[in-house]
Amino acid sequence: MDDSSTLHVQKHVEFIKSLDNKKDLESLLTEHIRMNGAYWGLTALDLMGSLNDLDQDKIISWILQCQHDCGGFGGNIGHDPHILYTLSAVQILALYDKLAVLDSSKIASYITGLQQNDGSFYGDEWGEIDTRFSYGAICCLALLRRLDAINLEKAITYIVSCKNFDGGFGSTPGGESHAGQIFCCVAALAIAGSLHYVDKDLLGWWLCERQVKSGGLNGRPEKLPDVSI
Amino acid sequence: MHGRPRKRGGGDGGASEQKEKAKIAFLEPLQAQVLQNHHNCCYTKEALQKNARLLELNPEVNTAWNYRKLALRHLIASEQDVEVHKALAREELRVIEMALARNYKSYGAWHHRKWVIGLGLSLLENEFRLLDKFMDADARNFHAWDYRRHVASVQGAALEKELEFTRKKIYDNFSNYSAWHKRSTLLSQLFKENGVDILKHSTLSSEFELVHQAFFTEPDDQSAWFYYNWLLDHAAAAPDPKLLSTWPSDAVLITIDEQSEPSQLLHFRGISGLEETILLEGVPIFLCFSKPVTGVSGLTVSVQSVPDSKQALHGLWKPVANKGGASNIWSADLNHFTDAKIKKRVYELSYNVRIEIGSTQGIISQDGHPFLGPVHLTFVLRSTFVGSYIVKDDIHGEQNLKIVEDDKWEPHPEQALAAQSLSMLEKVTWSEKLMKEEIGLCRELLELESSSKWATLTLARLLEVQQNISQDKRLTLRNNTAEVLQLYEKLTRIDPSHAEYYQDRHSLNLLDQITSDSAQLKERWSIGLHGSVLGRDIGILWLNGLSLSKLGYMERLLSLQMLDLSYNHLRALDGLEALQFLVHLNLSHNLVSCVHTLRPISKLQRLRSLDISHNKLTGNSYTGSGVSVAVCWDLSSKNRMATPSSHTFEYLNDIEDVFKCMNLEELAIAGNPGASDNQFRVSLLESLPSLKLLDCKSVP
Repeated sequence: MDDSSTLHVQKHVEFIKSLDNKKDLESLLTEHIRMNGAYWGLTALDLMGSLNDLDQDKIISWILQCQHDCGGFGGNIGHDPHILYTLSAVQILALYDKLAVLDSSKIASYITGLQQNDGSFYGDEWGEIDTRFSYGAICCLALLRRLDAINLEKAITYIVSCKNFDGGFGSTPGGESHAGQIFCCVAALAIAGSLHYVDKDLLGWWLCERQVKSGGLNGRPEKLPDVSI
Repeated sequence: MHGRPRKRGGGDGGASEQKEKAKIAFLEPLQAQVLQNHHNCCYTKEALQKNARLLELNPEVNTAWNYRKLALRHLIASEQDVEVHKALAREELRVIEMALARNYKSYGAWHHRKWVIGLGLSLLENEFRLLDKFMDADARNFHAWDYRRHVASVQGAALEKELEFTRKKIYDNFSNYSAWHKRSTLLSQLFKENGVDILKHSTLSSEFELVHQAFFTEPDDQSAWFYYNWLLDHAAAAPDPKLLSTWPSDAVLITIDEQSEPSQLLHFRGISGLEETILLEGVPIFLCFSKPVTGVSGLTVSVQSVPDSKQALHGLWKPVANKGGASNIWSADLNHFTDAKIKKRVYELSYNVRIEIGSTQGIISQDGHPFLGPVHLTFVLRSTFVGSYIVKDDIHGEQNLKIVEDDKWEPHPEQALAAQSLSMLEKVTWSEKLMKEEIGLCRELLELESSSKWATLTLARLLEVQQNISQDKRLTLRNNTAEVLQLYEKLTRIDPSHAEYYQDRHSLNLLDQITSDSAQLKERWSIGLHGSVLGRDIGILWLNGLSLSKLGYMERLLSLQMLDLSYNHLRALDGLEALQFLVHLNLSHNLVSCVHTLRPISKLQRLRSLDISHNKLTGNSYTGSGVSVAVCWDLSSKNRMATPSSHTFEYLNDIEDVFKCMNLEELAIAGNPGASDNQFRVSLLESLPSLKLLDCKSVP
């Protein structure tokens, strides 16, 4: 029997479930991004029809403990708030269809406070700017039905200013095109009904050139393929 | 985290397990301590050292970097001596370097460095030295490139110096995509600042020189080819928006049959050169630009028509496809038949309508380039009366009309298309001579490397570009198209994983050829009777069975009322929104798989019959968590205040988004996976209240 052509769904489910209580070095080193990890793991479980294999109430209670007074969420209990973990938190609650437990206004005002005059977004109070955070803001607010909380037009203008000669997008204006950043920018523009700013033909072609002979995809030209892409 | 090989367990007798346990035993309490110090705002030397130790082991802990910023602020505030401040900053930079040694891609580390430098306590020159070290280790490290850009701008480094740096990096390694990218941004910036268009500058030749070196040395390396493609795109077409086509087109005669009130039958010579008829209420005008533009209004477009030059238009110019307030296509209605009084003014039988697009400045493309007008078009409207009848007129009383002799006013259909392309002549910024040289060079390379996908693709592009910039487009098209099509066919063979992309380009070239040749259009034209509009002959254009995967040049077919695109390979329908007169569209037996792919069709207000049977449409799968897919927002409010913006948001699903604006009477969806999905059908029926027939069965 050819094993390599079957997806061993149950094994993947068990692996993800085991991550919940794992205490190895890898888990310790990634403790600060547990919120992201939870989102990826739970989405995968949902796709495999096993979302309820993990304790929903326990997870939701943990998520709420990660929220700060400012409205933003940290990556784990005791960790500082950041837009990336705020997005993951909201995404998980949307997955569970439990957005109602959140105070949308509080989260919306946290995100409003992160937007800058040029439309860009800080990741947190310390001022790192990146189009990943633009996506974080727009996706999060769309899920909460609160896109009115930011200046969407300026947010779009900023994202468009990060468009490059190859049709791709970088992290900031002038930043090299990278598939991860492109996902964030294109997704943000799609949510905002602004895909007409994307040069679909050019970017589409650049993206399909990310596929290498092995069949895998790289994030940028002449780079190695990576599962995350 | 990326690019790490998977660890295979066991094999060393538990020694690695012991090591890991020791690491955990050290790291766990350290992490806890660091967080505790952070919460307690403890900024002692010991606390800072512990924090540094953590970051050295795990530079990804963002909270730990935040702590350092708070600590530094606190320490700087409690000390007056600037030298102490500088020492503190130096220590931070040292910690960062250690962290970067662990992971030179750590966002937290690089941002902390930026923050520390921002305090103004360190020398910027050192930063360049550090950057050189990182660039030598990995020339593609985008963190380093981004940081270098930041430091260069803080220092006010000259763009030319940075340009020289990229040239050096490219000579070190032609496949340094990061360097080519940087070059593109620098050149764009340089020419923007000097107000010069990149393509008009002699620098262009030296850029081509650099690229030639690259692809003759390493023809398989993609970086230079991407850059070359960019140069071509910019050299071939100036960025200002062009007026591609209009309806009515220039120098056309439109004969209006007055008898069929309230609508009128308009006769004119259409795209095939044959007589066409449209049933309309009023006379619309469509302007079709090459890019989405804003600013089309009564100020920027002047319309003069005798007898009513005062109020030539009925209402305002409207964007047909609202793309953030801009649109490729704008429409307005001529005030010809809307006023009952004018209808009865029988002494005016025919008159000219003169339109000047860009009469004043103000039409601007969405990416900020002004339309360079003015462009003129003139057409003639003529009313016909069959027989004679009495008309009452307020001013002239009763009048007895006679049959009007239709004197032979011959518009020149060829002239119409040609007139437009002359008046909209591309500002040829690149000489045809230079074009021939580049093509020659590419052919040379292909002789050496016949299976080079990049050289083959670029030759096809060069030939396409040559068509666009040549003075005699039609001749060049005829000469080049066969070869271009062959090149794309070759590409699907030598690079099969990208076959669909080459098929798209093949389709575009095929459509370019067909739509610019009136003989071919005539061949594909026939008169068809459409069921819902009895007694009237409408022309139908047959573009079926051409293996088309993509559409283009639809702006050349503006007057189309019926179109058959069945039995093709269409996956996208962009371009169809230009066909504003379309009443019937056949897209059966294609490859449309998403409902939102149908969006261009939702702009076709006159469409009554749509056949999308035998495609790949699935049911709306975005169910379950109740999270919607599409967001529509209304930019009609011109409220440009600071924050927040005052748009309205509608959260719709795909089917509602596409179909609720349409007035379809007939729809065919059989043969799609979604056709058997009840929710899909229900959603459709709810969005289309005017629907009479679904898959040829009456709708209850």
